[in-house]
Amino acid sequence: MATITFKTKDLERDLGGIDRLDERISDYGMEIEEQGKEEMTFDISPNRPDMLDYNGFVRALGYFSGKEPELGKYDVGKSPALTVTVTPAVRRIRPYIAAMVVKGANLKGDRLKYLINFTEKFSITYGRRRKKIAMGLHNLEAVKGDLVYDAAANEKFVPLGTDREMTFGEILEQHNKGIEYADTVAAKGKRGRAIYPYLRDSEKILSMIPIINSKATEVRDSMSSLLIDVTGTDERTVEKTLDILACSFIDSGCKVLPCRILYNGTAMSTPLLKERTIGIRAADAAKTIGVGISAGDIPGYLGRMGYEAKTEGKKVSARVPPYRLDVINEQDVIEDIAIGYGYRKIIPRPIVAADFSGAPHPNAEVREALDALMLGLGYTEALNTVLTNEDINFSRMGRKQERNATVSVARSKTEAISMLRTSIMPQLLQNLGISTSERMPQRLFEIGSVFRVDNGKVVEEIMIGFLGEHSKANLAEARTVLNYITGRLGMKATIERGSDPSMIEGRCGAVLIGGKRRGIFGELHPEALSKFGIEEPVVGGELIINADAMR
Amino acid sequence: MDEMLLRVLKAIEGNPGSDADGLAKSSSIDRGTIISSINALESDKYVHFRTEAEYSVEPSKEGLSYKDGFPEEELVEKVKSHGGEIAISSIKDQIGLIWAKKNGWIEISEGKARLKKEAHTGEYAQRKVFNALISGSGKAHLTNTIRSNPDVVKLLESRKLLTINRAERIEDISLTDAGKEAISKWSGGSGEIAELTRDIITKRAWTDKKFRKYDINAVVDGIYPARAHPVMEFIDIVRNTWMRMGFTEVEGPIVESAFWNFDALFVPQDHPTRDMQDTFFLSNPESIEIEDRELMGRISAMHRKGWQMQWKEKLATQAVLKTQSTAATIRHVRKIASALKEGETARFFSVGKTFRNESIDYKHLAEFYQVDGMVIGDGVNLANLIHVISEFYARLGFVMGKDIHIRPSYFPFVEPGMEVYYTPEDGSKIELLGSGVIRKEISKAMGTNKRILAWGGGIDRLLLKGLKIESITELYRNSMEWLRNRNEIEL
Repeated sequence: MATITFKTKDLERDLGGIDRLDERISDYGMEIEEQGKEEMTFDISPNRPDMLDYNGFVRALGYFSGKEPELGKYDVGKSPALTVTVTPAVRRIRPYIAAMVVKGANLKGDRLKYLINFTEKFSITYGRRRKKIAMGLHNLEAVKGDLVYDAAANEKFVPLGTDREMTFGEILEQHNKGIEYADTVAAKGKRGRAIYPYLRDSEKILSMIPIINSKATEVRDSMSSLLIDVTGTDERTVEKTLDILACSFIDSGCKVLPCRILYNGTAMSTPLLKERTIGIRAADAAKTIGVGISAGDIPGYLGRMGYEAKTEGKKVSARVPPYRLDVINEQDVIEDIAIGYGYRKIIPRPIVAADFSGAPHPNAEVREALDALMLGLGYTEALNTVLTNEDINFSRMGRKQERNATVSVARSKTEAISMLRTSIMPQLLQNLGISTSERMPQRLFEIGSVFRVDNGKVVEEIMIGFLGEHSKANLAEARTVLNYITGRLGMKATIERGSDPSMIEGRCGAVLIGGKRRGIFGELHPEALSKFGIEEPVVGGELIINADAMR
Repeated sequence: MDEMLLRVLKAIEGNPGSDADGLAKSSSIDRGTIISSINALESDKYVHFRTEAEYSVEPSKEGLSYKDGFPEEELVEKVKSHGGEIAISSIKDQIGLIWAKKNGWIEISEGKARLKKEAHTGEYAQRKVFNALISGSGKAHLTNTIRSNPDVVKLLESRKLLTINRAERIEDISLTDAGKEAISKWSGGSGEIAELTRDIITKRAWTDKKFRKYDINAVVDGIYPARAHPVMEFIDIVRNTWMRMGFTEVEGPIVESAFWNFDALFVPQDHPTRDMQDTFFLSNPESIEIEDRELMGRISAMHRKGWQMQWKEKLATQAVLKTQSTAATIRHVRKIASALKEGETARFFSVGKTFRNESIDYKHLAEFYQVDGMVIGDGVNLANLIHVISEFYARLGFVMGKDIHIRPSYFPFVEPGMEVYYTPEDGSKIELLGSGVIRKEISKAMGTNKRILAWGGGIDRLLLKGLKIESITELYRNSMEWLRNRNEIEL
C-alpha cells in the first residue's frame, strides 16, 4: 500500500469538513495512517492509484458523500497542441509515450507538491519503480516547437538539481536520481551499445527518461501552462496514467489539450479518455453481495463510486470513469456497488447447506496424538522456525551438508536464514543451550516439517524430535520414548545399531519402519553439546511421522 | 516435625561444615528449601552455622548516567564558568541545584546561586563510592566499600541511584548434639511413624504407632509440568473452531511454485510482492515444474486477458516459500472442484507456515502461521462470508460490530474484497483477515462455476495479545523458562 499526505486545512475546505472522515475513509476501503492538526496521511489501496492524487482523492470522497458525477466533462477534443514523434530506436526499449498540454493550472499553495508527490508515489508503486511507468512535468512556456521521443547513447543537458551540463553517462554515475534509477534504463541498442530514452523539443533535451528532467523546463508553482508526458513499457498503463492526470486537471477547472503521437506512420491523440460502459445484471449484483437490491437501486450506489449508471430493465449499464484503471469487468463494478451500498449495512446470512461435517487432516491427527503422548511423558513442547542456517543445522552437529539435498534460500535479508531445516534436534539443542540456568531435568520435543531435495524435487516430511537433559540422562531413556510412541501409534519399528556425528559412537540406534530408516536416537556427543553451550548430558532422537511413512 | 526438616538434618549429618549450596548439591533439595529449613532448625538449636553478609549492587539508569559526573558537580562547573555566580532561572537541572546546596558548595539568595569559598575541590565522595560499588571488582572489595562508607552508601540509596541487595550467606553448617539426637528420634526411634514405607503398610506396623504430624505450611519445591507450546495450543483452538463449524482441514506444501502461490491467484507477474524484496526465492531447487498443464493454459489465458500482459511460464516455475496459505486452499479447490455436484457445497480450511523476506525484529518474523478458509457453493455471497467470519470470531468471544469490524479492501484474487480487523480496548487496530469472493476467472480456471468465498490471515498478533507479550520473537525462542512460566492464552 502507498501512503499520501495532504494538508488538513485543504481537506477541510474541499471535503466540506472532516467530521467522521475516518469512518468515511474506512467505508471506502482505505485507512487514515496519521491524523495531525496540520497534515493527514492516508493509506491508499493499490487498486486506486487515482486517489494518490489530491483532486482524485477529493473527487472520490465527494461522490461518496452524494455529489453527482458528470463524466461528460472529460472530453478534450482532437485538435493537438503539440506533436510527439517516436523514433524506431526508442521503440525497442521503452516503446510507449502519451502526452498532453494543460492550461490555466493553479499550482499555488501545496498543489505543485501534491502533483509531484502523486507522480513519485505512482511511479514507485504502480510504475514498478519507474520501470513500467514514469511521468514528466514541464513548463510549457520553455518548450519550443514539436517533440521527439528518442533514444541515444550519450547526449548531454543540464538536469534538475545541478547547474552544469552532464552527459547521460555522468547522470547515471553522479546524479542522485541517476544512481537511484540506473537499473531501470539499461537497454541495448544496435551493435550492443547501451542507449537511453529521452525527450527533446526542436532545440534541446527536455528529459532523460525515466531518470531526470532538464532544468530548462523546470515547473514552479507560479506557472500555469504545463506539458505532461507519460512513458513506459505497457501501452494500456501509459494511456490510463495520462487519463488519471487529465481527469485531475479537468476536475480542478483547467483546460487540457491533446498531443498527437506519431508512431512510425500511425498517429494517435492522447489523452484517450475512452468511454467504457459495462453492463451488469442486477440479479448478479444482488446474488454476489447477498442483499435484496434491484436494478433501480444500483445507479444510486454506483453514483457514490463515481460511475454514471442507467437502469435498463433488469440490467444496469455503468459508464466507468476514465481515471479508473482497476476495473477489469463486471465483478469490479459489483464490488463498487457493494461499497456504495455500504459493507456495514450488509446483513450477515448463514450458509444454507445440507453437507456439514468437519474433519482434521491425517497429519494433524497424528500430530495431536503425539502431542498428547509427549506431554504425558513430561516433555514440554517447543516450536522453532523451519528457516535456519548451515551452522546450526550441520556444523554444530558435526553433520556434513549435502548441498544438492538442502533446500536453500536465494537471498535473505536476515543473515541467520539461509536454508530449510533437515532435522529437528539442532534447534532443540539451541533451545536447551539458552536454558542452562533453569531447573533440571529439561525435556523438550517438537513436531514439525523437515525438508530435503531428492532428484531436484523438494520432499517435505513431518518429524518429531525430542531431547532430555539432566545429570542421569542415558541411552535407555531415549529408547524408551521411541518404543512408547511407535507402539502407541501402531508403527512397527525395528532397531539396529546406528551412527550420527552428533552422537557418541556406539550409543546411537537407528529406527526402521517397514525396512526404511526413519529415525535415530542416542546420547548426544559432548562436542555437539559444547557447541550449543550445554553442560549436562543430553539424550534424544528424531523420527519421521507423516501419515504415509508410518507403515 | 516436618519430613523435609529431617531430610535436611540428615544432609547436614552427611556433609558437616558445608554451606547451603553444598547441601543443595549433595541432597538434591533446592537451595531455598534448605535455607528456610536451616533457619527453622537453628531456632530450635538443632544446628549451628556462621552467617556472612553478602551484597550485590544494582545501579539505576539515573545512577549510570552520573558515572562521569554528578549533576551537582556539573552545576558547580557551570557556576564557575560564569564567574562564580549564576541566575537560578538559568539552571535547568534542579537535582544538581539541590545537592550542590545540601553539600554546602553554593548559597542561594536573590534568585542567584553563588559559589562558596569552601566549595567542592577534588574527588566527589558520592561519585567515588558509586563507581567503586558498580566496578564489579570482587565480593570482598564490595563488602569493604559498603562497610567503610555507610553514610555515603545511604545517600546513594536514598537518591535511588543504586539498590544494594543484602543477603546473608550461611556457612559452616553443622549439627548440635540436640540435632544429632533429633535425627535418631525422628527416624523412628521415638515410636512415631515418619516416612511411610512398604513394610509399615504390609506388616500393619502402623496399628500400634502414631503418625508424626507434619508442618502443613512447610516450604515445598516448585513444580514444572510439561506444557504445550502456546502457538500450537492456539492453532488447535482455531482448528477445532473451524472443524466444529463443519470445515475440513487441508494441507499444502511449504515450498511452492510461484504458479500456485501467485499466478493461480491472479497476482500479475510484475507485481511488487513477486520481487526478491518480499518473497523468499530458492537457489536449490530454483524451479518447480507445473504438472497440471491444462490448468496452466487456463491461468495463462486469464493473465493475458485480465492484465493485458504477456505471461511467462519461466516466472511461474520459480520455487518460493509460500507467502500466504491461500496457495494450499486453492490447490484443494482444483482437486475437488470438478467433482462437486449441483447444489453441493464444500468448506475447508488450512493452517500453515507462510514466509516474508523480512529483517527480523521484535515485531517482524520471516516465518509465521496463517489460517485460510474457503466455502464453495452455488449461491454463496458476501453476506454469507460476513456471517461465517462473525460466527468464527463469536466462538472465540468477539462480537462483530463491537470488537470485530469489516471494510472494503483490495486483493488481486477477490472481488468484492473485504478486510476484517479487531479493535481492542487499548484503541489499537489489529488486522485479522483479508477475505472476499474469489474472482470467477480463477474459479472457472479451477473447474467450477460455483462461487468461492475465501479468507486468510495471520494468527500471531491475536496470540501475542492473548499471552500479554509484546515481542513476536519471544514466541519462537523456546527458552525453557518462558515455556514453563508463560501466561495462559486469554483472548
